[in-house]
Amino acid sequence: MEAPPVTMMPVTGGTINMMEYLLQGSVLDHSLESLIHRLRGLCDNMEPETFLDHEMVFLLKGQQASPFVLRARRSMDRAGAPWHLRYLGQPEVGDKNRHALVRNCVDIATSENLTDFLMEMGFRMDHEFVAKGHLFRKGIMKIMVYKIFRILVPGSTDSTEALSLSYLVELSVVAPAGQDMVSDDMRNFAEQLKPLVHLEKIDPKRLM
Amino acid sequence: MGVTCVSQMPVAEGKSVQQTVELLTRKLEMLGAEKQGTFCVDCETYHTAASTLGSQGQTGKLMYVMHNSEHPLSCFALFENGPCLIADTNFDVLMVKLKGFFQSAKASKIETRGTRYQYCDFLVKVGTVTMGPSARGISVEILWMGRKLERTSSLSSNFSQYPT
Repeated sequence: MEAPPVTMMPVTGGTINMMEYLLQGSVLDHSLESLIHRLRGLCDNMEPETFLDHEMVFLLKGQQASPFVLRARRSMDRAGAPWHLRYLGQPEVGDKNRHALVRNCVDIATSENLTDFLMEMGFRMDHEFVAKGHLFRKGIMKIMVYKIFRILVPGSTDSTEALSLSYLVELSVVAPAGQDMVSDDMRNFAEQLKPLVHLEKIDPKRLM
Repeated sequence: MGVTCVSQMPVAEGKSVQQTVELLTRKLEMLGAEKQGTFCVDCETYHTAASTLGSQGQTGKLMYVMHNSEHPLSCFALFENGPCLIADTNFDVLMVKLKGFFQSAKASKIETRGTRYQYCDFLVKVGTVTMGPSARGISVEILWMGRKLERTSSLSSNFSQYPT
């Protein structure tokens, strides 16, 4: 018998299961300013933040069919910020009426020797990229509008190349398991961004 | 920040671990140290699961995950002669997710628990080291906080003799 999905188990082993609710879309470069302008109006009254991050994706292969994936992210423009290690589970197969993609997530702040430690654990880097863009907040919702850059020389973030002529737009919330009303709030917010950007629930498995 | 020294204290002749700890703490109180709550440091051992070893062709490694009540929001993970990672307590949640790759030997969880004392600008922690239900020894941690240099007599030499 399969274990019940994590969304139905708010607490496992004494710790609260946190879920990431996600909607994604994209805009072409020339539409960026209009989208930023609309987000400035809709989001919390604060100076929009820009970010420049370097993310490395590590895999640990075992005898299971699918490797264990961890994402290590560091800020390139904020000296002294901790590194961010993230685990994302498989998207929950649940209610088709659920408006957002839901997956278990574990976020950990770490010291800067994270990559050495992951290698010592047996992880190997699969790919890396640079993300540069803007960050907005609306209550507990986080909206990121960013461009992905391919790293041309492994290990060096000096030479990069934009992956596309567009910006990825992500609307996400991290909340304890079982709070599906969050996805309704996200859908309502996403409606306000139409027709500038169409944010949808995109299942990564369907892209493979 | 300061200078920390951690050492194992021998159990007094003819006494139990508990009795020796009581002797040490009484001696500290006679010196004028003030009791300041309790402390706990624990250490869990994880080893690479056999299934991971086979696919990577490497020998098994031991990873130690430690917690210190002085840093309640942190977790310390290290490999012997390897890197030591400082992370927040969500690292423990990640280890649960990694249980297919890293197995915890629950029986080998070791902890030291005891009382904290402040003596001038020294912080002294006397702990009973236990593995499961059994007491295995005594640990003493002395942290010199380095603010004052009034007394430079060696604190540890005071512990080497027990009152008759």
